[in-house]
Amino acid sequence: MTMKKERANNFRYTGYTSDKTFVNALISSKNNIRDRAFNTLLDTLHQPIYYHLRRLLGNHEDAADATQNTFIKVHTSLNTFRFKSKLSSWIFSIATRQGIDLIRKRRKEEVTFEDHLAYLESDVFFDGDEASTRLHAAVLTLPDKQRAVFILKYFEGLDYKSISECTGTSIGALKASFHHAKEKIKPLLIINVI
Amino acid sequence: MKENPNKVPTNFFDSQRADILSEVSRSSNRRTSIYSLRNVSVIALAASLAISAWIFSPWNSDDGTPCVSYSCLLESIELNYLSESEKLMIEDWQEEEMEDEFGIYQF
Repeated sequence: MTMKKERANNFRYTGYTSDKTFVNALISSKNNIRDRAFNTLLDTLHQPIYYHLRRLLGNHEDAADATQNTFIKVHTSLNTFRFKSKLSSWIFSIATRQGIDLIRKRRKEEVTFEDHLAYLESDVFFDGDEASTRLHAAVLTLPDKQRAVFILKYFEGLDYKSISECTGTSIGALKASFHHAKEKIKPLLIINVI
Repeated sequence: MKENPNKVPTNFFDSQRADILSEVSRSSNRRTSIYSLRNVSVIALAASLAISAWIFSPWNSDDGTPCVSYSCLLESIELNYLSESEKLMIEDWQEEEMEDEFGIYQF
């Protein structure tokens, strides 16, 4: 868990000393400075954002769309970033909102745990063992915001403060949300063990 | 640590990176051109307003051309446009001028 926390909370933008200098480069009017900074941003956060969205949305196509939209949104909104949180937390919050919007757009009928399980087992871009498949399917049954909190905490290893910056929710509410999510997931995993 | 079970198509990240960078570059250039267009429009609008104000100005010099100096502007203001107190001030001033010129006992 410690390793996860270090990974998720300590994104470093190679060649830039702070979020401030990095953001200044990202919004520079000089093409070469801006392009170099955006390349660095993608080097650092492209894959973490994609995998976050992949866990949130449950399939490659939606995650790919949401990832692309996230980085374009980051580019167009950078001038509104006020350094009240880490740049990476702010970008994760944009990604989470993009993901939740997509879940709400696509949600037409109730999809059961078994449906998610069947989908993941047949998905050519998913290669987990049984426990891992059940865990991912179980996560997909959670309500959208609870799912986002669970993924940010469990898979991304973010601390509650960072998740609070991402979601705009109080730490107390996040703890409750994570607890409820765990309670909902547990029985789905226990069935597998039996 | 367990391997991530989520897989992606071959070269997915490289190809998406190219798409994102191309979109970012296009959007930046579009934004720059919109800003320059907006600057030119604002300057043009301000210039036309200034020229119109000058051409249609009610303050003209004796030969009918619009005033370009403060003294011309003062001279072109008709007395009728002034308030009563302003008229009185000017009358006082005129009286003082006449007194200076013709002496205090002229009347």
